[in-house]
Amino acid sequence: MASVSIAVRDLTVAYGDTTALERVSFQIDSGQMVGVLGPNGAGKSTLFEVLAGLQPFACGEVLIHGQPASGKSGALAYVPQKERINWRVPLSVIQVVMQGRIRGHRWLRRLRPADIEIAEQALRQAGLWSHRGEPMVSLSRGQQQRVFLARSLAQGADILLLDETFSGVDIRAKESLMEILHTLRDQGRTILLASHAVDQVEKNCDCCLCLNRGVVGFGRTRDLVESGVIRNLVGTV
Amino acid sequence: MEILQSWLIAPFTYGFMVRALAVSVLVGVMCPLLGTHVVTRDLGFMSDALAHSVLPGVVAAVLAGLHPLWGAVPMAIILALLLGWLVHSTGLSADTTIGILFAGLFALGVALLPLVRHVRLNLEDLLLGQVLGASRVDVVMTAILTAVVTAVLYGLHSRLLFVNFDPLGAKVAGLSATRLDYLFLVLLAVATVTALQAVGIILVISLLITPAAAALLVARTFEHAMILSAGFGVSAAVVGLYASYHLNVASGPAMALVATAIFAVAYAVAAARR
Repeated sequence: MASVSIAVRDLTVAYGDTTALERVSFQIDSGQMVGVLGPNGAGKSTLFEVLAGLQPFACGEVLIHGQPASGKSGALAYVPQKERINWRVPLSVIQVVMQGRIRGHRWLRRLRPADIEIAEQALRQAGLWSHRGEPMVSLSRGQQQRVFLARSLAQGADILLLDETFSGVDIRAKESLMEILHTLRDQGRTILLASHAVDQVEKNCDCCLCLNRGVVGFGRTRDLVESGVIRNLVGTV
Repeated sequence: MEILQSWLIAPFTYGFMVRALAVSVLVGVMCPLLGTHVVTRDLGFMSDALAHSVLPGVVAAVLAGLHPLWGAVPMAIILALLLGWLVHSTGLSADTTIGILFAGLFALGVALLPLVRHVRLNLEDLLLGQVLGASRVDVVMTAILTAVVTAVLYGLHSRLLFVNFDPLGAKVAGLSATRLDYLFLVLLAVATVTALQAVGIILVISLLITPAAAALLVARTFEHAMILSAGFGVSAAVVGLYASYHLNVASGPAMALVATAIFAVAYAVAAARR
């Protein structure tokens, strides 16, 4: 029986007078790929911030591997939207992947050979070893997302939060990304994929969380498709 | 040979020129190293504001009979932390908050200036710098502050870079991004007031921003940009000092002009590469 990766009970988040999430409850087992669907402002990013321990919430309970979400365990990794990255910082591909190992190394110390090996292995797994010395800005959008995935792997996180990962990515790159995500899921990692790409979610995700400030639907993707929940939500996505 | 000697060596037969060179080179290393972060984080206005806003601290230190840095450094640190806190707690934009504090504190400093008429402290010195008047104490203090700033930057390099590149990802990975941001602002405050001595309030931005901006135009990696920017900063300081001596122009503006010329060359090189 799979262990519970994420458990959220009666979560409510408010910004001043505005409620971003209201009485949200769901539970995700380890090794599942879960699509998070919803229109803009539905609370997808807020939910990710809460899971990562970055966003305080008014009431409810959020457990990551049975422990309150704090953002300090390193169990979660975040693959950001392109807009959240400061592209003025000129970093090479391998430098970004090495960031996944920073948490474990002390001030004034260089990364240990073992950390470097883990980062290099993660980059190989993402299929980008030959690009290791290239500047991030010179890569395609799909390749950049694979680098961020490699950084998550280097971090050793077993829960990946992917925020609009497919946005601006061409079809071939989407397929390549999906292949990697399937491999990671098969290795036991839990993947939450916030996306507007409904077709990708329908085709690839085991479960789907339909959000519109509250939970509109949660369950097996096929069931939500057949019951029309996703179709109804798609009109607003 | 004699001409070369009179151009290169003659200026440094004077003790004040040697001290000016030491302070300029130190500032020429420290400011651009920080400047690479300042430019990529878009904190240019913040640096300018810090330079202006320490005036009340400078006046208070002079009134107390202390070296101006004893007032300027704590004032800048308090200001940097206050700015960070106001932005986080009020939701006002960073530019708005900086504008409010910058104008208010600079005005307060100007209003307090008449209190120290008996001491040699005037607006022109603060605006244009007085590196030729640097004392041994100035050299030692600048060296200590440069060493501290450089050591912290080196020790926290990967963390600062992570937070600069992907703040949210850094937080999720377990780094204390807010604490690192505050620490960076404190370093910036220290560097800014140290550079005041060499190039003055108006021109402090030239050593903090211009060499780093030039380096980022031509460098492939952040580390390369940091090293290159320090080279540009030292070049601007040294060439500016020579120009100041031989052409009889104020040292601060001379350094700023050299830095701008370096930027123009870097821009041309970057454009030619495209």
